[in-house]
Amino acid sequence: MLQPETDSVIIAAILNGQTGRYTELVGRHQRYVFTLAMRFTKNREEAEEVAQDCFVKAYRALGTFKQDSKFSTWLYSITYTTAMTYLRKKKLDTQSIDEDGGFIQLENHISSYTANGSMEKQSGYHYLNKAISLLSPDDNMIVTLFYQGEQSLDEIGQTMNMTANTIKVKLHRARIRLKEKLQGILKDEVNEMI
Amino acid sequence: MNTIEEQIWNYLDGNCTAAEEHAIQNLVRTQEDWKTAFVEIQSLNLELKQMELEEPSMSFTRNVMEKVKLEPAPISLKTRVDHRIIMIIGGFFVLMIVAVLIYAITLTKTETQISGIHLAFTAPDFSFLNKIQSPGLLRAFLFADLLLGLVYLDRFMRRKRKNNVHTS
Repeated sequence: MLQPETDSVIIAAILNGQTGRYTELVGRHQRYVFTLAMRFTKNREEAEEVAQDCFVKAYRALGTFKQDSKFSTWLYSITYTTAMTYLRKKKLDTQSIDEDGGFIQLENHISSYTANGSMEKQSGYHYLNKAISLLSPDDNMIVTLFYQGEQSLDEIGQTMNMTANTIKVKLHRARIRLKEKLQGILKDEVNEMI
Repeated sequence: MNTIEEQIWNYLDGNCTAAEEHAIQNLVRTQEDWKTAFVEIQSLNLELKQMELEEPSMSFTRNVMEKVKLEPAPISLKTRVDHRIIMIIGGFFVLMIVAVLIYAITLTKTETQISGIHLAFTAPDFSFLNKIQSPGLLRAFLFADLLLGLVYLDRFMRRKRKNNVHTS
């Protein structure tokens, strides 16, 4: 069976003039970048804009990518910086909202029903997504990169410009906060049902 | 001191040593509070791992590629900075400095008296340089410069044309 080409091979081809092959890199990483963007923007349209911006920035700077880390790690660090800039701009444009009080419902957050997935399971993810969206941007990023981006503590450290130890401590605190938020949400749901 | 939760998360992340793993497994088996915490955290950990990624719109890749087409083609930094050109420029300056120094030394004939020590600087004999100085040598030097300039111009125009082809 034909092995898929690595990111490094595709990058080398792009730098040699086959710029059209950037489509392959976009296709490979778009879901990860888009998910991260969604975590920050909490809105599909804005997340698409941020994610597209990240890919354009990565393309512009592709010649400077030293390949001493994974392309995904480098791309996520661009995503993190772009998303943080987006949040700062948004903060200037709007009034500050209390983290817990300013919960914004994620649009179409449950992507689709899996073939054998149950309603129960999907609603479990729905509440989990809700809880993650209530975390601070940094906690949100760490949890998403660790579980969905499949990044190691070292790689997350590179992305967020922190040491692996700091990330380990932050991840632990983020998970505790996530558990608390989840318990809070579920408690509210039960109270509403009663 | 690590909390129960922290130790369980470490265990589930696979960051524990064999001895620590064994100890945690024992605690989970024997102590009720450990068992409750373990079940809770394990189920949360599993849900986090199984969470699906978000899917962007169908036109996402096309939109990115349309924006990318407007950008100049990326070039590796290695090709952008040609070390040979830097070496040639560096060599030229070193040569100039050495030439100026030699010229200055040939003009110097100094005698210095510092606190009783008599220092005499006598210029070395560089009269042989006069023999190799000729209009022919000067022309050859200028011709080499011209060649270097043309090579650089050729490389520059090739690169520019390549960029134009990729962006169009």
